[in-house]
Amino acid sequence: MNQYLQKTRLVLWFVSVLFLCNLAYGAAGNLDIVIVKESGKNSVVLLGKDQMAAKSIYSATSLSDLSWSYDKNYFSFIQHGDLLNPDSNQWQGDTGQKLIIMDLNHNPVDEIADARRYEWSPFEHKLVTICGERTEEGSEYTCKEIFVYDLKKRSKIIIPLVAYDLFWARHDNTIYLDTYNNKQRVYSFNPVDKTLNKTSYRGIYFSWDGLYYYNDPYEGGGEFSVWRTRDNMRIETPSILKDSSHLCGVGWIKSTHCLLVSELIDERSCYLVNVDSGKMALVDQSIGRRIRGCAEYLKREILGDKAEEIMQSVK
Amino acid sequence: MLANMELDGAKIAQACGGPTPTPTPDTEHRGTPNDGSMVNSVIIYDSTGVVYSGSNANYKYSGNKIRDVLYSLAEVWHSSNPDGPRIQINVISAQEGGDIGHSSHQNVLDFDIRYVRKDSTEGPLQLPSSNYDQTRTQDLIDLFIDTGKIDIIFTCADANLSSSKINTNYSSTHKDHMHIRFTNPSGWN
Repeated sequence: MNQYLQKTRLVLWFVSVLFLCNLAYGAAGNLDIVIVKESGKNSVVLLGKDQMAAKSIYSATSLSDLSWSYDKNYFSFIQHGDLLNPDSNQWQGDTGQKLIIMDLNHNPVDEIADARRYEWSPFEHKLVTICGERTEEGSEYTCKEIFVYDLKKRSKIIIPLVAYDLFWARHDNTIYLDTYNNKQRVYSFNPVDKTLNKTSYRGIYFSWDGLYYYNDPYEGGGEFSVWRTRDNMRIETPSILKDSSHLCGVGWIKSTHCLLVSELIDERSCYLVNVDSGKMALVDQSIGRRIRGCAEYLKREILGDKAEEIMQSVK
Repeated sequence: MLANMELDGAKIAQACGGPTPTPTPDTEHRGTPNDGSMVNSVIIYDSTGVVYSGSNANYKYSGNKIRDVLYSLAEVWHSSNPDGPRIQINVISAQEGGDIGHSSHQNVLDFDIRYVRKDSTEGPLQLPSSNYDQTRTQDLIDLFIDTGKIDIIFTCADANLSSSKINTNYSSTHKDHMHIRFTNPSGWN
């Protein structure tokens, strides 16, 4: 019994340390590999069956954006660059920024230099990425090139556009690109026939079936909104969610019309919002700390054993 | 014409070493940070405790009331940090607000401000860094928050700053600056 308690306490301690250390899960809530912060560095670590760190896979000063290919055969993350001359009093860009792709044996299989944002294809071993140089302001990077990268063929298809955010939608296998320009905000790129088109959408984060989408609350400043895709009609959401300045993270629960929304008004709170019913439920605030922008989450892995009960409460 | 009169007044006040007087009419901050504009803007000049360090000189415009608050708190900052660094502003807004290629900054409530270096020099700093002065950066944001006129501050987890106003939503961004958003002065007493 004592041994059991000891082990439980150890696991709880480790889990709490992970939360405190800016833990980042892979998209779709895969818990086997996580990024942790330790001794001033970031490490990609493999968790054992007991959720303890079993193996350090990769370490660097700064890592983020851990994500998986559609079939979980590859995972990838961004290594952030360092200032070229950290002691200079002039901004001079960075060096060493890259996207690292690894296989299930934790071997690096490819790298993409200067990648700033990326998304895996929902169906193939391809990804789309925005590459550019770091800037000290605004979107924090220039958009030098956007391309679809085929991991198998090692080839790329250029998307001729300047944009700062992207999303590869599952419902229509289309890449949506956000220019952050209110006059013509969202473009779509068809990776099959390679056509680029303007759209009238106001955001790029589509639900699994494409019925709804929401806008990116990066740096907030306006209303956080959810739209119905077919007629671009704004869906009424609980008023507490409307000021996007205070949103800390938003993500769809996979295969549902439910959004996890973490917000900050004096203290951090996390809500589950059913877009169909308009109902909202307050959930454990620790979940909010695990939400990263625009990821998709598996309900049981993010909501825990009470997932069904919580989902029922907003039906 | 009014803008020119105000600019001259600001220069004169700057030469006298004090905060600039509030001009009339007041600046109007219209719309939202990601879809907005500004009327009757003022330039934020380098002054005691504050410097515009941005690469684009066209993005140093703000509102008169925000400028007055900024100059006042910059003087307090300077008195605590006489050997520097000054508060370093990278970007504010264009003269009439609007889109400057950022997702926000449009109604001129937003300031991008550098983190403080331990060696007190002025220059860029990217977190994590051994030259990051967390204590003085915390002091700096506390100065802003104590004005009671701050809506939100976007920063990164590596900055390890604490305040109920801090949003570290995007962990891979805001590694080289804090994004400080004032509340709209139209609601100030």
